[in-house]
Amino acid sequence: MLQVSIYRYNPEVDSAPHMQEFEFDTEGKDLMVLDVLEAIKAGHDSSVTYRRSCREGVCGSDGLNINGKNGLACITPLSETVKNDKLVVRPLPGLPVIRDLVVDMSLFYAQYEKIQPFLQNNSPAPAIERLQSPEDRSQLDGLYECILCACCSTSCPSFWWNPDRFIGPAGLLQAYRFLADTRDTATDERLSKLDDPFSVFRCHGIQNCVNVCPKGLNPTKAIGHIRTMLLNRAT
Amino acid sequence: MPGICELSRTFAHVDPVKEPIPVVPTCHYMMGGIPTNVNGQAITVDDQGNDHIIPGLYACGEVACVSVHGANRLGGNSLLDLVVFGRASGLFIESALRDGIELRESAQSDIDAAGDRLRHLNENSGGENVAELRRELQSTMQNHFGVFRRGDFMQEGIAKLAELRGRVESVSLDDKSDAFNTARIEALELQNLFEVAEATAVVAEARNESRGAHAREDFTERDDENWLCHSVYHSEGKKVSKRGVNFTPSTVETFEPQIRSY
Repeated sequence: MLQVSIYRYNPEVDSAPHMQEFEFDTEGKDLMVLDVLEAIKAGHDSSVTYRRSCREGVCGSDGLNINGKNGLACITPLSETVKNDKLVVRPLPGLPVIRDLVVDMSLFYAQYEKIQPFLQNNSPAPAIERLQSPEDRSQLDGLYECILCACCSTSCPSFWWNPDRFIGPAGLLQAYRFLADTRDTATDERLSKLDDPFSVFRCHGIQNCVNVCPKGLNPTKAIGHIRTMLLNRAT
Repeated sequence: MPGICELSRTFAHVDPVKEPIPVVPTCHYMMGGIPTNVNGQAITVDDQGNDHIIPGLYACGEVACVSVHGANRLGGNSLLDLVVFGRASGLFIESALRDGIELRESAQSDIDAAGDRLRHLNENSGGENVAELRRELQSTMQNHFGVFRRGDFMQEGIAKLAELRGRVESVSLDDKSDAFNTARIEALELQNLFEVAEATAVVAEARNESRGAHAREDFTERDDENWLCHSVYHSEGKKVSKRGVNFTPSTVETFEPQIRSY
């Protein structure tokens, strides 16, 4: 019997958030956390509110804080997280809560938008694709796969303290994705925009981001590359 | 392959290196949909079988039927719907807007009808719960309109859906708040799923042949004489009519329908 504790907050009726307890019989199955949430919503309390879509770990909608660690509910099996039959589900830390487990992602998206996450190349478009050697293309591996689930940025203390000035691990991973893309010609302008005390340099190598990324990506490493590019530029 | 191995290990708890991967057929894509022309303009068919563009209504992607897939969409070709017709309809809308659109007054009755649907959900009580009804809808469709179909079994399914309709229409919500209410969204989606399910069911039962993904045990062959056409579903009256397939491409040779054999 699983003891499930879910963060509840409805701004229409609650003056403050509170945890609600549920008992859930897993019948011995190693379910995903999302399966448990769905069963509770269907069988016990239809007002439990959370985002979800693909149920296979590719859309990033169901990023949550599960037993203290950020992750995607749909690909977190109970066996990986539950100790002593206890499951605690909370919203991603640091972002404003709209309802129960749903947070306002605006700050996260604003930082992503700031790094101009699109290819910039003003040379005339060729008749076919802009070609890239397999070696050049491999520079994007470990960067393009980000699904913008926000697990990393919301696990980062620097992002908690400065979500409007520090770009955060997800934004910086994408910033490097474009810096590393051989088809992009705005490298110097991109680096200029990142060259201030807050955008990149609030990263202190805490590495919570690496620990929680559900796609196995490494934002700290990407940030390290940006640091190198910025420092090389300055000298 | 690495993607498949990971899916198998994560969700089926089966290591494909050691054991066979368990599979079950499930509904994955909607072939057919809102009829459109190549500009993404939605089309309706009148009683004489003539096409009429519905001014101002566009559709593209999986929801639309231009059609490019016929009775069986090839793997990867859903991208075609998005990339080609997403672009085509976007460009067409842009030029239509530049030409100037004629704004029409909305009918209060239409607005009231939409409002009624929402009001019923907010005011109903004593109805069944969304999750239960959704489960019943799922199992009716999976059992009666799955991969292998048969007339008598489909007729049973249609009767079950008819009975389910009233219960879906009177579904009630426990959560009536307005703060990011996903329970209400799931109820609205259930009602939408029901409409799609009933359309699928009625048309499947009417089509007395096998063609592409529509495989019937009681009509195992294709009937090109009577059924080489699109079926059109009219929800008022639950009627099925036929609409011709385009047999006159202007720039390429027609590929003649063949018997599918291996």
